[in-house]
Amino acid sequence: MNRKHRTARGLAMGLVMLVAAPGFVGAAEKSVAEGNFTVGTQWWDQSQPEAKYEEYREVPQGTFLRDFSFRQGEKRHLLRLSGTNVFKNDQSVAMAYWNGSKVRLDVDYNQIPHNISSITRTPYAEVSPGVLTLPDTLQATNQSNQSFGTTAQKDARYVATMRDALLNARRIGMGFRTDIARARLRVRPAAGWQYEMKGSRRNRSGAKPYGAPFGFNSAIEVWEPISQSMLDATARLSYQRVKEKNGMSLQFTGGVSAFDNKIDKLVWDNPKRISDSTYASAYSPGDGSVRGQMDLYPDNRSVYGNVALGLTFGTKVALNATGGIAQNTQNDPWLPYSVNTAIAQLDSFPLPGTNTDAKVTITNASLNMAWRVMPDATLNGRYRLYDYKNKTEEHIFDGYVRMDQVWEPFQEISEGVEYKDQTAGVDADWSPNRKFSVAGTVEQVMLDRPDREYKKTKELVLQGTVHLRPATGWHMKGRVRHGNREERSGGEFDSTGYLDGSTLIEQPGMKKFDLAPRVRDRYEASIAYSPSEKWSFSVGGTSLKDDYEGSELGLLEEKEQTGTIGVEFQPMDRLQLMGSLGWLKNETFQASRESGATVVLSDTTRWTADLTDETVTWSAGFAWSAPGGKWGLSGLFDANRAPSTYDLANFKNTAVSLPSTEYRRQSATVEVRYQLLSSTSLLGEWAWEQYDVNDISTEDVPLIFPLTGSSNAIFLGDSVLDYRAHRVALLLRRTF
Amino acid sequence: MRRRRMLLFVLAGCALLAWSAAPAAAQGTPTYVGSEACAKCHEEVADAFQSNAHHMAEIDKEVVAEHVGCEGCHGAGSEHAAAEGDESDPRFKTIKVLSKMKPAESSAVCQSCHRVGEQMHWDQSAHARNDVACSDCHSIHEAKSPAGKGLLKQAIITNMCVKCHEEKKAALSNTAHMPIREGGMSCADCHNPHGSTGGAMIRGTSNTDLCVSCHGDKRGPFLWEHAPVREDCVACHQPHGSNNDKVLAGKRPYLCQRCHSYTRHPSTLYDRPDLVGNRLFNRSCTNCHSQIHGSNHPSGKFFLR
Repeated sequence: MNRKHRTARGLAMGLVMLVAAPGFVGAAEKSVAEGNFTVGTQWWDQSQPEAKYEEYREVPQGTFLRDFSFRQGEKRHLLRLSGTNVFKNDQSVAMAYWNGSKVRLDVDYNQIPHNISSITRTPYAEVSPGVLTLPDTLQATNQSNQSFGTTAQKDARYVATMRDALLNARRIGMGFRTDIARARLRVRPAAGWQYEMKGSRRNRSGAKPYGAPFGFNSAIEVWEPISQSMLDATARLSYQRVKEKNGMSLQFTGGVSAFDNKIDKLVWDNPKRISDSTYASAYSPGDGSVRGQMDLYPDNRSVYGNVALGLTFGTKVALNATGGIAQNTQNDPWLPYSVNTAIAQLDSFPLPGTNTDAKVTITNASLNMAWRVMPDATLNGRYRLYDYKNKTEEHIFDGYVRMDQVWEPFQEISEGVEYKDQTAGVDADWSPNRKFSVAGTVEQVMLDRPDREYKKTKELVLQGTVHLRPATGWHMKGRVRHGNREERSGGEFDSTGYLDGSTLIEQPGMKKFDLAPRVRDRYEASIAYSPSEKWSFSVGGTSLKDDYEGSELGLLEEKEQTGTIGVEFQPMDRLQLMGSLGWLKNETFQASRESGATVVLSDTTRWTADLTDETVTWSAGFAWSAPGGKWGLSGLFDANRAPSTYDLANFKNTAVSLPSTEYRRQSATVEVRYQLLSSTSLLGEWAWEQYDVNDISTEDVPLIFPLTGSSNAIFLGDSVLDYRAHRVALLLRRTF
Repeated sequence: MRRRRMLLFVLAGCALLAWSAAPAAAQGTPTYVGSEACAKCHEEVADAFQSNAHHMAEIDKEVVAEHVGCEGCHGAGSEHAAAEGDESDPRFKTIKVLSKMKPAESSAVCQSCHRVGEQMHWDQSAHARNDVACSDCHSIHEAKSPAGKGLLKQAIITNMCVKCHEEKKAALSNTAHMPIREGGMSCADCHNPHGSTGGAMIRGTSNTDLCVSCHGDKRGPFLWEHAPVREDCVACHQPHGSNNDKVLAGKRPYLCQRCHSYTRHPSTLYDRPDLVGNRLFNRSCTNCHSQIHGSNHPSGKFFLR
C-alpha cells in the first residue's frame, strides 16, 4: 500500500471516529461507554537516511491515528479496544472482553520492525527465495582475469572489476519485521477452577546482513532472507482453594511450540568463478566453487508440560513445588557437504545419514518453602534443578568441505551438548518494623558440564541486605553479595588443548570464563528521600567485580559500576519538574597468546586487551499547565553518550590500541496542549533528535575493502551514519 | 545415638511447624455489610470501581471468592461503618487498609484470589522477599489503568520498573538495545514481576529457554552446537543493552577471543594496523562464522556453513 492510500485511510478512520464518538455514548446509556483517540498529521525530515531513527518503529509521515482506546460495558459484559500507530509498521491493536468473571478473552496484534540499513548496495539478485545470483558475465570476467599475469595484477583486476560492479549495484533495504498475533481465553467454570488457553503466531520476514565466505580473508556479505514463523499453543488448568487461612493451588500446563523456516537454505554465487574447481589450500582467497550453499536455521519443535503445587498453612508456611519436562526436536534434512561439482571426494564419502534426528529432553524442578518462624522473621529454603539432556545420536563424518572449496579428510564427530544446573539456598529475613529489615542468603550453585573443560563446578554465594526507613520518606538500602565458583570433586579442569589430528591447536590452560573459577563481589547502595508528594530524590550505585584468579588466558577480570541520580519536584500543582542521571561502566581485561600454524607456548607472544564500555545518560523534563487548565506545555530532553576504549598491549610492546569509539544520541520533545472543548484538545509537537557515531569499524563500511591484495571482502555498505531529525505534529485528542 | 538425635531433631522441627501453622484464633466481631454500605461514604472510589475489572468479581462471586467487592479485600466492614468516619473511634480501624500494612500482609490479601497463573510463584519471588507489595505497581480502585491493562499505575511498564531498578536505565538507553524504548517490548515480556521458577524472575526455566521463546530459530538442537550458546545466551549478549552491535557484551573479535586461542587467526592480536583488513571490520569474526548459534550443515563444524 502506498503512502497516499495509507494517508487517506488514516484520515478516513479519524473522521469516522470523530463523527461516531458521541454516538457510542448515546447508544450505551446507563452503562460504561467511553474512550479516546488521537489523530493528526505529522511531518519529519532527516539529514541522512540512517535507519537507526526508525530502528524499531515507523515515524509516521502525513495523517495518522496515533492511538485509540474504547471501553464499553453493560451488566456482565465489558469490551475494551485499544491501539497505537494503527496501519503503520509498528502498529499494536488489542481487544479484551470480559463476561463477568467467568470468561475473559484477549486478542492482540503487534508489529515490531527492525530496520537495519537503508543504504546497502548489492550486485546480487534474489531470483527465488534464498537464491542469490550474480550476472554470469561478471563471474566469467573475474575468472578469466585470474588466468594470467602476476598475483598482484590478478588482484588488481579483480578489485577494479568488482568496484565498478558495486558502484552500479542496486540499493536494497535491510531489515525485517516481526508480526505477532496472540489470543488468550480464560474460563472460570466453577469456584476455584480456571482454564486458560493461549496461542500465538509470530511471523518474521525481511532480510539481515549475513557473512558468506568462500575462503579465508575473503568474506562476502550477502543477506539472510528471512521468512519464518513460530506457532505456540499452551493450555493450562488451575485449581485454587482457600479455606480458613490455609490455601492450595495446583496448576497443570502443557504446550507445543513449532518453528518453521520457509527459506531453509541460502545459495549464493561466487564472484570469482563461472565454473567449479577445487583449491588445494584452505587458505585461498576465495576460488573454488561457482556458488556456495549454507543451511539456514532448521525447523524445530518443542513439546512441554509442567505441574505446580502451592500450599499455604495459615500465614506461617508457604510451600511451592514445580516439575516440568520438555522435549526439543529437530529433524531437517541435511544438505550435501557441498554444491561444488569439482570435488571428487564427494562421490566417495557419502553422508552418514539423512538428518541430525536431534532430540533434547529438559527436566526442571523447583521446591520452595517459606516459613514465618516469628511474626517478623521468615526462613525460606529453595532448590532448583535444570537438566538439559541431549539424546541425539552422534554422527561420524569422514571429513568436510571447507567453505565449498576443498575436501578436508579429517573425521568429525558431532556430539550434542548437555548440562545440568542446580541451585539450593536458604534466605532469612527479619523485619521487626517498617523502619528496619535485614535479610541474608546462603546459596550453593552446582554446574555439571560433561562436554566442557570444567566438568563440575560449585559456587557458594553469600548475600546480605539491609533496608532502613528511619523517618517518613526515607528509604536506604544496602546489599553485599559474594560468590566463589570453584572446581567440584570429580570435575577437574580437563583441557590440554584441542587436538586436530595430532596437532595441538588451542592454547593449553585457556579457561573459558563462563565456567572458570571466579570470585564475584557485588555491592549495592541506594538512598531515596521523598519528604512529601511534592518532591522526591534518589541516588544509588552498584559495583560488581569478577575475578578469574586462576586463569592465565582468556577473561581475567571484569568490573561493572553503575550510578544513578533521580529528582522529581512539583513546586506548584500546575508545574512538575524531573531530572535523572545514569552512569554505567563495564571494564574487562583479557589475555591470549599468538600462534601461527602450530601453537606457541611461550609468553613472548602474550597480549592483553583492556576494554571499557561506558554509558552516561541524562534527562530533564517539565510539565506545566496554565491557570484554568486551557493551555499546557511539556518538554523532555534525553541524552545518551556511550564512549568505549580498546587498550591493547603485548609482550613485544608493538601493539597499537584501537581508536576509541563513541555513540551519542540526544533528543528533545516539546508539546503544547490547548483544551478546545471539554472533551477535545489540540496538541502541537516538535521533536528533534541527533545521532553521532564515531566508530571506525561501522561508520564507513565500504563496498569492497581493502583495495589491495587478495584478502578483500565485499560488504553491503551498511554504514552507520550521523543524522539530525526534526519532527512536527499537529494532533487532535478527543475523549468521549 | 546419632540416629536418635536426628530423629529428635526432625520431630522437634515437625512439632514447631505444626504449632506455627495452626490457624490463628478468630478475632473481632465485624460482619459483612456489602459494598453499598461502603459507597455511602466512599462514593468516588465506589463509582470508579464500578467500571474496574475487579467489579466483575461481584457479578460472578460464586466462582471467585466467598467475599467480593470492597470487603473482599478490606475485610468485614460493619464495625468500620458504625464508626461513621470518626477516626478516633476504635471501630474505625477494624478494616484492613492495604497501604498501611506490611507488604507481605497486603500482598497476601491479593493472593487470596490471585494464586495461580502469573502469580503462582509470588511467594518465592525476589519482589516478595524485598518488601514489594502488589499495590506498589497496581492501582486497585481506579476505573481504568493508564497502561490499559493489569490496573497498572503507569502507562509504560518499563518506566515503573526503572523507578526501583534505576541501574538498568542507562543500559536500556544504549545504542544497541531491544525495542523497549520504542514500546515494542517491556521488561515484563522477559521478566514476570510476580515471580517465576527461573533466576531473576525470568519467564523461562533458563535464560536460553526464555530467549528462544521468541528467537525460535536459535532453539536447535543443531548438528554442530556452540556450547555457550546452548547453555546461556547471556554469556555473549547483554539483553538490557550495550555499546556493541547485537547487544553483545564486548567488541568483536575480543569477545570471541575471551574463549578462543586456537592456532592462527583466533589467537592473533588484532590491533590498529589490522583495521585495513576485514577481521576487525563490520561484524568481525561473524563476517565468516555467521552460523555462530549452531549449524545443521554437514560441513558446518566451524559455523561457516
